[in-house]
Amino acid sequence: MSDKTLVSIPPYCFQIDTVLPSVKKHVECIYANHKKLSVSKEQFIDFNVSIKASQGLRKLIKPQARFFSDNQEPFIPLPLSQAHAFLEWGMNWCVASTEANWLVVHSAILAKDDKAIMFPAPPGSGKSTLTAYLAMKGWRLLSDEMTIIELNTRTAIPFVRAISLKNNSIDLVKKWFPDVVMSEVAKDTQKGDVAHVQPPKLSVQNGTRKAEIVGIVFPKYTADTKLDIYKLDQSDTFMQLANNSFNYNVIGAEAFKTIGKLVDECLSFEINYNDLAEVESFLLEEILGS
Amino acid sequence: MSTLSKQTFIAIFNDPTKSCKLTLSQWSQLIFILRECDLLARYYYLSQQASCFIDYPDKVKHHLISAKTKADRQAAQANFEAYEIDKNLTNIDVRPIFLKGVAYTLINCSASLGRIYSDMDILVEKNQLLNIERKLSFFGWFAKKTDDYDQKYYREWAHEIPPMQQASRGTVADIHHNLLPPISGKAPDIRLFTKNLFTTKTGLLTLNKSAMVLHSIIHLFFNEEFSHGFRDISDLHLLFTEEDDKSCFWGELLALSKSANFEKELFYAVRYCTSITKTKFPLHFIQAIDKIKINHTKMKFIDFIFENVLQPLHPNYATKSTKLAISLAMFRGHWLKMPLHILIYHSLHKLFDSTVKMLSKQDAA
Repeated sequence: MSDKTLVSIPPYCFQIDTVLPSVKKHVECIYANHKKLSVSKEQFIDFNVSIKASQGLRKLIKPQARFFSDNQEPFIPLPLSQAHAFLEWGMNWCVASTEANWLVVHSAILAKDDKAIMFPAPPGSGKSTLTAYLAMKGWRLLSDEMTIIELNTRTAIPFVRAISLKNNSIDLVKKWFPDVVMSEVAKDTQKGDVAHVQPPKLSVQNGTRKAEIVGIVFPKYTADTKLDIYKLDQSDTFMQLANNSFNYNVIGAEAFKTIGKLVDECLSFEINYNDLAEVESFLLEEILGS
Repeated sequence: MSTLSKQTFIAIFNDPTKSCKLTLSQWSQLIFILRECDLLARYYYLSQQASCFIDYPDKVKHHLISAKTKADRQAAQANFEAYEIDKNLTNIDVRPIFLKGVAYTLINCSASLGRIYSDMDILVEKNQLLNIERKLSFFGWFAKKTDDYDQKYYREWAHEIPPMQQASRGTVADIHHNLLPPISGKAPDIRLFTKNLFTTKTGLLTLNKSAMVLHSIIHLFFNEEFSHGFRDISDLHLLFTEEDDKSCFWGELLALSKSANFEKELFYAVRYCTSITKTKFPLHFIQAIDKIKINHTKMKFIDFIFENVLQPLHPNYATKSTKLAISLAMFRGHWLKMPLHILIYHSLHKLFDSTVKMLSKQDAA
């Protein structure tokens, strides 16, 4: 495999440049079903990302990886063992820091029959375990981390990439879905142990199929509660969505109107749960069913 | 996959209609380089003015619109921040004069097009500095954390106070009392620049146009690092081009450059705007500029440096010449602003400090 891979991850095209075997292996695994474009032909590249090992003394002592987007290095180096996870975080940064045509919300989003539900959630809420569960159960994955919304609409644009799992959920998901395809575990990151799940093939194949957002659910894993559902009031939902948006302030008025529209026209809930099957039933019956 | 040469890039930047023959991968490269030069938003506006934006490929338009949206937001923010600090300072009887990028935005001149900047630069009277540092804390402004060496640099050598940061909004204000550090021996009598100020519609103060342009020129040709070199020459091109041939701007600029002793720098600005951004100047102005005498050998040295560092700096365009020019520019910039013995001390300290930081930063990762 050459050092440069051009991967089409609608709505963007990433050129990924690396000589590091761990990163190459990760890209081959996670983006196995994504369309690869020819580096030698004329293509439009949205982001030109690379992961390099630190040179000099650092090659021998506590080796490190560096992330670049074209010539910019937005982060300090990380341990080389995290290089593949670093690529994913770096790709998130590329979109979050440049995009201002669409509203980008830090949220998972999955759909059934083109009706989508957003799951904004702070780290540690169990959102990604829920995302992985629903995706493996046949829900269409639009994104685990970044919900992209056309301004002044409830239309979500898929941006299908890996589902990132942390700590306990890595083993849980492997147990429930033995066929799951996962990257190497990156240990001792800022978020603990992190692994990436290959997005389902069908989700990738539908990578340009938009969906209509009908529900917003704030999930929180709570060990002693099977499923408690709270209807959220509009101002709470609005605040949470605005706070979870990467580019709300940059876009300004149009972002305000977009979130306003979501809040007005979607059902929004907060759920405390420990039973994923119960959550799925709730989503199907109460949000998609209505 | 076709590459985009530096000459083609500059030609397209100077005339956005020339981009119609670009291939998709050349378009990608154009966008990467514009972004690296902080000119992506400006290019949106230039291509709109040239009426060719509408014909660009969708993906190109997408990136240009994102950049323009961010820059517009920053401009709105800058207007707000300038108003706020002016209000805070007026409370302690100080009227700040806004400089550089923020000033362009406040006066809404053509150099404000797609301009982005990180800090606010303001000019105040020297005897107000300590008062400002003390009293601004009432309004949530605090000196940015600096180590003892930097404190000494600011206070003793540059006769400035460290940058002030607004605690809740994070805005940083660089507060100056002159356009160059007094220790350089080249700091002008600041009253030459401040005797005719401009008041914006919202009541804020900036230098008048000719003083503003000369300040930008001084800043550029006394600088030590040029990651924004091409952007700075683009600013100057826009500032020059929006002036009518008959405007008193040209005479004022010549007079000020003479009285403040920056004729050489004005000569350089005209020279490189002519060669790089193809700026057209009025004949009478060129005739006056041509009278400024520069030593032939010195000019070759200056040409080598600036013809390199004022063109877009990007790894795609890096050559041995550009790398040498960047190093020479750095030495020149430091040497112009500091006496030799202080320069040596400063360079050694920076080298030591960056080594220490590199080792400890990587240990923290």
